[in-house]
Amino acid sequence: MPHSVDDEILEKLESVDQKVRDAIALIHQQADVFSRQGSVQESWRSYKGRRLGPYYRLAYRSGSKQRSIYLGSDQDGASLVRETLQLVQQEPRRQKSISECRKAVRSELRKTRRQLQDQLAAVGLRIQGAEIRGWYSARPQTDVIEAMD
Amino acid sequence: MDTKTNHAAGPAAIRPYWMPEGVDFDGLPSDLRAGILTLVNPAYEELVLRTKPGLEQSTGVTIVQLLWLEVLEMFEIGRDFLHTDSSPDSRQERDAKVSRLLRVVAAKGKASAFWVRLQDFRERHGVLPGGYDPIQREFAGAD
Repeated sequence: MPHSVDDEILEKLESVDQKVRDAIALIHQQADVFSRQGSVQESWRSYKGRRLGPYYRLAYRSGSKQRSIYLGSDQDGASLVRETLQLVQQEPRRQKSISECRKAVRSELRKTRRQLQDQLAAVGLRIQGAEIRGWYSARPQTDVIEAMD
Repeated sequence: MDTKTNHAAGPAAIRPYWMPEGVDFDGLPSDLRAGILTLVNPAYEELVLRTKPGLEQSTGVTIVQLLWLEVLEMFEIGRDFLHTDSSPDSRQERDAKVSRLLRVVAAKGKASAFWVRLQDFRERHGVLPGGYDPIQREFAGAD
C-alpha cells in the first residue's frame, strides 16, 4: 500500500504540540487561502543578554490583515507545518499540469483519429461513432468469389 | 531533485519520448508518472513500436492515447475519493468524472476490438482490409 505524504504528516501529528495541530488544521480548512500564500517564519528573542530561539510562527494574510499563529520552538513541528503548506500550495500546480496533460492527449487523439479515418477510407472502411464499419466490402476479392462459389 | 521541497512530485522519472511537447511531465504527481510509465510505456512499445506504419500503427496509437486518458481519469477519481467531501456538488462532479472514465474505457475497448479484428483479418486473408499488405505497403493485385 503506498504511503502518502498526508499519511506521514498524520502519523507525525500524534506526537506534536497542539499549536502545530491547530495550525495544520487551519491550513486544511482554509486551503484556498493557503494555496496562494503563507509561510513559516523564524524569530529570536533576547533575555538577559542571551539570544533565544528560534521560535516559529505561521504567517499569512487574511483579507487586508496580516495574521500569525505561534508554533513554539519545536523545529519538527515547524517542519510539519511547512510540509503541509507545500502540499496545499502544490495542489493548484498539480491540477494545472494534469489538466494540460489531458488537453494534450485529447488533441493528439483528435489528430490520430483524422489520420485513422483517412487510412480506413483508403481500404474501404469507415468510423461510425466508435465502431468501424464496412468489413464486408473490405474483404479481398478472391474471398468474395470463393463465397459466391 | 530536492525531495524536501517537492514531496508531491516525488523523485524525477525519465520523460517518455512519445510525450507531447506541451506536457509538464515533471510537474505531474509521482504516482501518476509511475502509472504512465508502468502502463502506457509497455503498451506503446507493443502496439506502436512493434507494428508497421499504417492502419495497425494508427490503431495502436489510438489505444495508447485512450489508455493514457484512462490513467489520468482514474488518478483524478482516486484522489477525489480521498480529498473531497460528500456534498452534492462534489458528488455530482465525481459522477461526471466516472462517466467520462467509462466513455474512455468503452472507446478503448472498441479500438482494441478493432485491433484484434485487424490481426484476425490478416491471419485469415494474408493482407489487411482492402487487400493492403503492410509488409509490402501496397495493395495486393494493384498492378
